[in-house]
Amino acid sequence: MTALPERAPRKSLAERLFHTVVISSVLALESTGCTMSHDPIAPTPDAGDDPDAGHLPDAGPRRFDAGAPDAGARDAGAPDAGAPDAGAPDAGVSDAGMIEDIPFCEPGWPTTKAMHCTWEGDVAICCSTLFPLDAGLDERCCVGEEP
Amino acid sequence: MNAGAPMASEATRARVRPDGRWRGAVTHRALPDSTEEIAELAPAVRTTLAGIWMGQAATEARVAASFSVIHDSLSRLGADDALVALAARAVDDEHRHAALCEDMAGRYAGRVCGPHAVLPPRRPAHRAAPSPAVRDALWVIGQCALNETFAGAYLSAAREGARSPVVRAALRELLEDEIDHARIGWAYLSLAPDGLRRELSQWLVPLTACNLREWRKITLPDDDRLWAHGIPPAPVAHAELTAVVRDILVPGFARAGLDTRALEAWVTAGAKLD
Repeated sequence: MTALPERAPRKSLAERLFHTVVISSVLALESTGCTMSHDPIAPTPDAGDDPDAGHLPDAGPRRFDAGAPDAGARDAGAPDAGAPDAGAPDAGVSDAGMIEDIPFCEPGWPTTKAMHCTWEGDVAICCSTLFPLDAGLDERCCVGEEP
Repeated sequence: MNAGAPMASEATRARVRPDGRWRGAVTHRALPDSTEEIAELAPAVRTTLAGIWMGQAATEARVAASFSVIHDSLSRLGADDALVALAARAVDDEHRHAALCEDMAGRYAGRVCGPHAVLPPRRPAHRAAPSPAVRDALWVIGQCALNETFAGAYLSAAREGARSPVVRAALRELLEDEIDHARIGWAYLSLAPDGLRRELSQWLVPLTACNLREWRKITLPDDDRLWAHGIPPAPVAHAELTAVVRDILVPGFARAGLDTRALEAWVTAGAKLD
């Protein structure tokens, strides 16, 4: 059996992704000439201590390919439906309500990874576990249509 | 001509647009030959890996439908042209991912396994959204800033332990696109009207909890042999997903000007979903 890879002390994957995903998204938009609605914070990319950083995708602004083909039929006349900024004072978010918010939870966007499909005739049963029977065949599974 | 991915089914490769990101190619770079390394694997391991990649092909294709929703939402919101264009490209990206995953499945199986199952599209209803604009923004944030950021962390964890050259190459191709897709959400947030940002602040806990719940449903085999081929052990994947909330979502939303106090308190309390 292959030994588990050594994990040297370093920034977590999430910390490294923060710079790649969040900060660079703003930089990328700036490169397209967008006007920021608030002052961007100076980027502090910090992957220098990451020996694997060279394997991560380039976080540079050019990845925002505004000239990508198939921009789709954008409705240029669509109104800006953003909520009006009436300058109302920030009411803040009550900490007390946070747990009560969770019952409003509804199924989120389906994930893109690690579904395992088996076929019963032409019907695919796709589950988020390799062992659906152990898991009780609950909402972890969904039925796919015939291709 | 959809170059590459010879082990993907013709039906799946046909969904890749010839004018897409890589002009009809499934991947940016050709994947390395994997014949010898896969031949050395036990048949049961090969079967398991082929099944996992086939399942992922189905889910990647389903996300193409998700990005059609995002594209329309961004258009209605009057988002920057670059973001609308990137969302349109993402639809094709996900079809390329499906073809790439089928190709990987075929490599492990030694034959073409596709076409993959067609999963029904799904999206959160957000019936409590106070306006269509808020609902559109919630879709953009939920699918891009949350779901695709979680996906990036999952793929990073998968790649961290992957030793197979072809798997590392495939995961890199997927990760590059997922990062772009996540950026759509973060970039949109940075430009959203102040009033909309205030509205979205109230949704951060339920939105994050809902998406994290989807990711935590994933049950992964705890097998180092599979991690070497890009399937991370459950404890590793779950730890990275939790770290996303603390290290990316909280600071990311705060940086975008959202009120993250409730989200921070939820994370501090253990990000419990029950």
